[in-house]
Order: sequence, then structure tokens, then C-alpha cells
Amino acid sequence: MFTIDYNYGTLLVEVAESAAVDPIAPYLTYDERIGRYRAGAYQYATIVRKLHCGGLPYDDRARDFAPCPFELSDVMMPRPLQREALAAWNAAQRRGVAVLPTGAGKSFLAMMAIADVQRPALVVVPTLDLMQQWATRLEETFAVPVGMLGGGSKDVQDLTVSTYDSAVIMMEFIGNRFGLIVFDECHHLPGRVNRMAAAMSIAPYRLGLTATPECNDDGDAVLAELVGPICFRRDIDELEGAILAPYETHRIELPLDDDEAEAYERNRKRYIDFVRANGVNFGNPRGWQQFTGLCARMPDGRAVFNAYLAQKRIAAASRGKFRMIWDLIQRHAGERTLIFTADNNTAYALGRRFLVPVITQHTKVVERKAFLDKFRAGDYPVLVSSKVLNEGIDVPEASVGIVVSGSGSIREHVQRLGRILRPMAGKQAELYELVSEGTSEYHISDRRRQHRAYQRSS
Amino acid sequence: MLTKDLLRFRIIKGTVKPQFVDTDNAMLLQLAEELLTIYRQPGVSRGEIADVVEPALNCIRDRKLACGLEKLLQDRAKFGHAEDVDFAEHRSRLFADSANLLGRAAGMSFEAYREQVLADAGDIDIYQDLPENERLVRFRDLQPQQLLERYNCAQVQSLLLQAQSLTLTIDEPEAANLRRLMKYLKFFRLLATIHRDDTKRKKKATDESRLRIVIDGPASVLGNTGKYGLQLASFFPAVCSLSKWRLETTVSVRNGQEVRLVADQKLGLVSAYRNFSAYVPEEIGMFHRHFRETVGDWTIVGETPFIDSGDQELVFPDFSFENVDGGRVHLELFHRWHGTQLLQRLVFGAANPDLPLIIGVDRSLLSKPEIEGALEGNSWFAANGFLFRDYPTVNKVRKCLENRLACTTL
Repeated sequence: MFTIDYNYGTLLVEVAESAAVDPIAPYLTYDERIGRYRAGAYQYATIVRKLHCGGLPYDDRARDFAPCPFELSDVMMPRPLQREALAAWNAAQRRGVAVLPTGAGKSFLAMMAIADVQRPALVVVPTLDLMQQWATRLEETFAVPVGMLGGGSKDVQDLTVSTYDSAVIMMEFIGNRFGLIVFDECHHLPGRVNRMAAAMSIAPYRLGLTATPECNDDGDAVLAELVGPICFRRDIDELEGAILAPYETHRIELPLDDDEAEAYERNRKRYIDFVRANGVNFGNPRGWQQFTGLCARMPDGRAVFNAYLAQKRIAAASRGKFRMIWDLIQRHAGERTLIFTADNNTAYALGRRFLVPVITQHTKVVERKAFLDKFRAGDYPVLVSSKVLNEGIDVPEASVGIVVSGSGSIREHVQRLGRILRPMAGKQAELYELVSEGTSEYHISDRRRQHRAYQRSS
Repeated sequence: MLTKDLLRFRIIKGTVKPQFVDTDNAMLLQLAEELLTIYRQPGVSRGEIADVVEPALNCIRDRKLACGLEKLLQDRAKFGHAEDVDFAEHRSRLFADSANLLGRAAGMSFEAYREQVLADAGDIDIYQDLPENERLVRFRDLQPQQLLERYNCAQVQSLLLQAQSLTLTIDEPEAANLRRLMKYLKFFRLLATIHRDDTKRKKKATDESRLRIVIDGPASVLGNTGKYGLQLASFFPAVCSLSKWRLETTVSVRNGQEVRLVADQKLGLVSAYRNFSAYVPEEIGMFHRHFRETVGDWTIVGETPFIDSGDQELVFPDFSFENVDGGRVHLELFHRWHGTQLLQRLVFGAANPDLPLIIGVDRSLLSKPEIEGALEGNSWFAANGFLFRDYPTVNKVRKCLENRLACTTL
């Protein structure tokens, strides 16, 4: 007889003297601290399946969930693509990652999975905005109360949405209460800390959702082990015009004003001279740390670091970009425009200048919800954000995106494009990328455009 | 705690050496006082604090140290906004106006647009409620020397954030201190493997008892995990309260470089946790004397062991007795502040009837109905326990010891 208990994000397995642990031995580690066998909570399904198939008696005291009759509301009709994706996930024993571009209906796929599995489900998301959005949609779709973990909420229901941060903290207490766990934007999961959210849950069924699954280091393997393999994949260009809105991308190079150009060159020279004199190699993964370390130690280090920040700031938020933003707002008057920046300072500078709403991590939950609701309703035509709107947020009405500044990350750039691609009748999406001429921004822009979504139009 | 960039340490032969500060250093005490003075002004904004702090930070050669002290003060401060101004409402009105104009912005000059939107609202900062404008509403004050002590402790704590487990060696452990340590372990959901360590005794032939405790989390046994770093760091101040201890672990610093971290009581680190339960009443000495003089067939054993029943249930007896035939029985006392532990022990005792353990319960605990109810009719307590007032008499202990021995013999 085997007894399985859930213990702070792990499984405790007790084996009666007469029983042999052989069938599940590969998953068990003897814990001398307590004189019992322990296993990773995520191995729960495998262990139970082995015992069941081997005809071995066991007492499952780990599982603290029962079937739930979740039903999709009648008005929700799956698209063929979503049916296909669900079938692929089912075929992968309900453990796998679906790769779909923004706007292709990843959230609805998850809801189909919830209705299919009929077990309490936890949806894990990267931001508070997404938590709110998911909770609202789940409540509308299933007409049941939806719990939230994050941003001050600590309410656990049969359907619960949590941020990754809260899931990591809370999973050791709630990891046995869900049969299905959905990781939205699951490329966030393989991080050293975030992965614990998946490792400490016993959920037998797991679904990962992402538009950009590629991870660094061992991330792909971690994702495969904790969630499952990629079981379904479609890319942006495969769905354009059918499921996604047709789109154009434009890179606009803008000259700096004379005084800006002079200040840029001066600060840039100081920074570059320092880098060269000290042999800093940014091609090396430790290059940035080498630079900041030198800035902290060298007598002129602080001044050099300030020069580095100044040249970056001038290129990112030039007056020419501000003028172009006004031109684009006028050109697209009557449309919904999202403006993206690399940092909060630029976002608030734009908000103050154009007197428009800004959403950053500092925006309180009530106000950010009001901003998004009014933007969707057309009451606010322009919304500025640094990074929090990069992922997941559902604003199908947005048809214009302006990237004022950003990193060299391909993922970030693809996600930003995805914000304006949700389909609507007659919609033509336009993404503008503003680049300060003759500055390092040009190379950063080149780096982030290395994706098939940007190769097909410019 | 301190962020990675504020840690001050050297690495010598694979061992990380935190750069502690002298808590009596007059210059540092003055700097601490200056920083504290800034944070003691209610209503000051984050931006104003930054403006005043900056010169103070520049005055000291070691800026990282000064920033570290300031970080600890930030952690003790709570900021908020004046409730009489509703910035969100103000923005809502302004954005309604701006949206209205933007909808028909084609052909309009930027200057005309701004002028029209701001005609009613006035040209004020619409994002005045950002964090840098928040004002200090509460500050948990402390003395300059305490701030330096917290800084030293935080240096080790912040390194422990990167640890996966730690090994603690405790010399001459006292039951009350160990009990307290275990309380913190449970509170932080950590697990311990405890061994008696005889290494030193063999070398120096001293009478010292030594415990070796490996501390990590439930999932640690399944593989390396950084999940428990924060719990280990939070637990650390409880270690500093011990009289003789040594901590050893491996932490990762600077791009994942793995180094040893060693700390012990000689560093003089001061715990920020208040010690309520390590109080040892002077009646203990009297009890020892009286027991020796009046009880011939039992002796109090010199060292206090712990009883490990497995499953992380540890008993730290207040006394251990040995009779002339070599039989050993342990006594654990429950005073008025041990109500919760008593209830746990009653369950534990009933489940482990073979343990040579007796308990004494202060009558004051009977004022709690749940405890009175738990003791009433409890057969394990009837056979292995007794009640006392303030401190047990030798006579009661002797009777209970004999009773326990008789049960064991039967």
C-alpha cells in the first residue's frame, strides 16, 4: 500500500513494508530528514498512473480537487484553428505548449481546455493587467466566481488567476488544489524562480501558451519537462489576413535637432572613449557588468555613466520623435493608437506632453482598468505604455502602434506588433518604429527586426 | 535587506568575506544619525529625501556603504499620497477633454491642442502622484548603532538569498534557545537535519556538547533550488541570538561564481529578533540543589539532549534524569507562555507512548478552556504528567519519574 501526501510543494510517499517501490522508484528520493520518500509535486500524474497501471493499491491524500462542471457560454464558438490546437493538446496527454500569435485566440483555447478537463484550473500570467483581463473573461465565459492571487488579492476559487510572482510564493500552499494549470506567456516560466510555480503543483494537466517560445539556456528543456512539448504551432505570417489583421511595418529615421546632435556626440564620445580605454567588450556576456563595475570604481566612472545615460536618453526621446508622434496622431485621427517606450520616464514625458493616459507598473489597478476600458470603448484614442502592455493585453480596437524606443529584443518587438493584430472587420494595422538617425538606435532596431514577421513587409 | 549591487565583500581563497562595519565608529554613527534625521521628518517626499540624502552620501568615501544604510531605512519607511487630492479624478476629466480634441486633431497645431485642453484644467503636473512624489507616512525608528548592527546582519542575510542550504554548528546548546530556533525554522517552513557532533570532543577532550544542523527546505532533497534563499535569510537573525554558533554555506556571487560563506558568533552580529522565550528562571539552580540533597536514587544528567522522533518533531527537555539502574527519563516544562506547544505535545505524547518523557504543566495554563479540556481525561498526561505552580517541586518530579519508570518496567 502506498500513501501519497502533498507537503509544501512536494509529494511525500509512504510505502508499506510489504510493498516494493520499484515501479515508481525513479521518481522518489529518500528524505532522511523525515524518514520518508519525497518526490517533485509535478511528478504526481506519472506516479499515480504508474501505480494505477501496475495494479498497486494506493491512498491518494495529495489531491485536493474534484471534478467541476465548467461550461462555456453558448455564444462562444471555437474557430477551426482552436479546435485543431485543442485536439493536438489532448493527443499530447493534455501536457503541452501551444504556440500562436497574439490575436489568434490563445485565451479561448485555454478556456476550451478548462471546459474539456472539468477540473479546478489555475491560470498563471505575467502581469497584473493580464490577471484582471483573464479574471473578467473567465467570469463572463463560465459564469462562476473567479479568484485572484496578486496585486493585494488573495482569493482562491476553483477558477483562479495568479501572477507568476504570487504563484511562486503561494504554490506550496495551493499546489494540490488544481487539476489544470495554464501558463500564459509561458516563455516566462523557465526562469530559475518562476519554474518553481510549475514544479510545486500536482496539476496532471498543463497547458503553456506563447507566441514566442524560444528560451535561453536550458529553458526549452525546462518548459518541456514542467509543462510539456510544443504540441501545436502557427506563426504570424501564416495567419495574416485570415485570423489576424493585415499589417504594414514602417521604420522612420528622424534626425536629431542641432543641439541634441551636439549633446549626443559629446556624451557618446565620452562613453565610447572610456569603453575603449578600458577594454570593455560588450560582445562578451559579462561586458555590461564589466562596464558598470568600472564606472563604480574609476574616479570618473560616475560622470561616464551619466554620459552613457544622457546619449541614450537623447536618442530615445528626441524632439524630432515628438513631432513625428503628433503627425502620426493627426494622420490616424479616429483610430486607436498604442505608443510604446523603453522606459517609464519617456512614457510619462509623452503623457505630460500630449496629455494622454500612461500605463506603467506604477498605475493603480483601478485606474489602469479604467484606462483600458475607455481605450477599448473609443473614449480614449491614445494610450502610452513602457512595457506592461507589451504582452497579452487584449485591445482588438488598436490599429496603430508607435514604437518610440525599445530594446533589441526580438520577443518584445514581436509582442508589440501583436498588440495591434487582433482582427476586426476592415482593420489595417500599421506599426511605426521611430529611430533617431545617426545614433546607436539604428543597430538596436536592426537586431529586434530579425523575425519573419518583419521580413515580409517594411 | 540589501540589493546585490550594495553588498560589500571580498573573495579570498574561495571564501566570501563581507565587509562589516565597526558599530562604535564615531563617523559612521554620525552618518547613521544624519540619515535617520532625514527619515524622521513626517511628510517629506521621496524626491525631497533623495535631494537631501545625496550630499550625505557624497560626504563618505564608501558610497556603497552609505547607500546600503539608506536602503535599510527605505525598507523601514512607508510612503503614500495626500488623500485630499484625487489625481485620478483630475486626470479622468483632463483625458476626456484631450480625447475629444484628438478625435478631430487633423490639421490642428500641437500648441493649439495643448492650449485648448489646458484652458480649464490649468497647466499642472498631471502625474504628480508618481512614486517620487509620495510622502513619508510612517517610519519605524531605531538608534544609529542599531542601524549599523542591522547593516552588518543584512550583509550576511543578503548573501544568504543566494544560498540553497546552510550548515549550523551550535556549541553548548541550551534547550530554551534551541526550542526558539526550531520555532523560527517552522515559521519559515524550513527543515533541519540534526546530528550530535563529537569531532571537537575527540580532539580536545572537553565536555562541550555540539549540534550540527543542516537547514534547507522540503524540495531541497529533490535537487538544487534557490526557492529557500529568502527563508534562509529571514531565519538568520534567529541564529545570531545563540551564544556559540558557526554557520557555513555556499552562495553564488558575481555571475554565478560559487563561494563559501562562513560566519560565527565572534563576528558580534546582533539579532533584530526579540528574544522572549530564552529566559531561564533562577529557580532552576535552586531545583538542582534541592534535588541533589533530597533524592538519592536519581541524578540530574549534566547535558540536555534533544529527542528526535522523526518527521521534524523535536523535543528539547528542560531536564534529563538518570536513576541508579541507568534508566533515563526526560522532563519538559510548560509555562504560562507555552500553551500552543503543550497542545502539540499532548498529541505527540499520545502517539509516542514509548518515549521516556514526562511533562510538567503550570496551573496558570488551566485558565484557558481549550487546555483544561485537553488535559482532562488525557490518559497519556495522567500517566506522564503533573501540574505545578510557577515552578515544580522536587517531590512532584520524583513521584512522576518513579511512576514513569514503573510503567516502563511493567
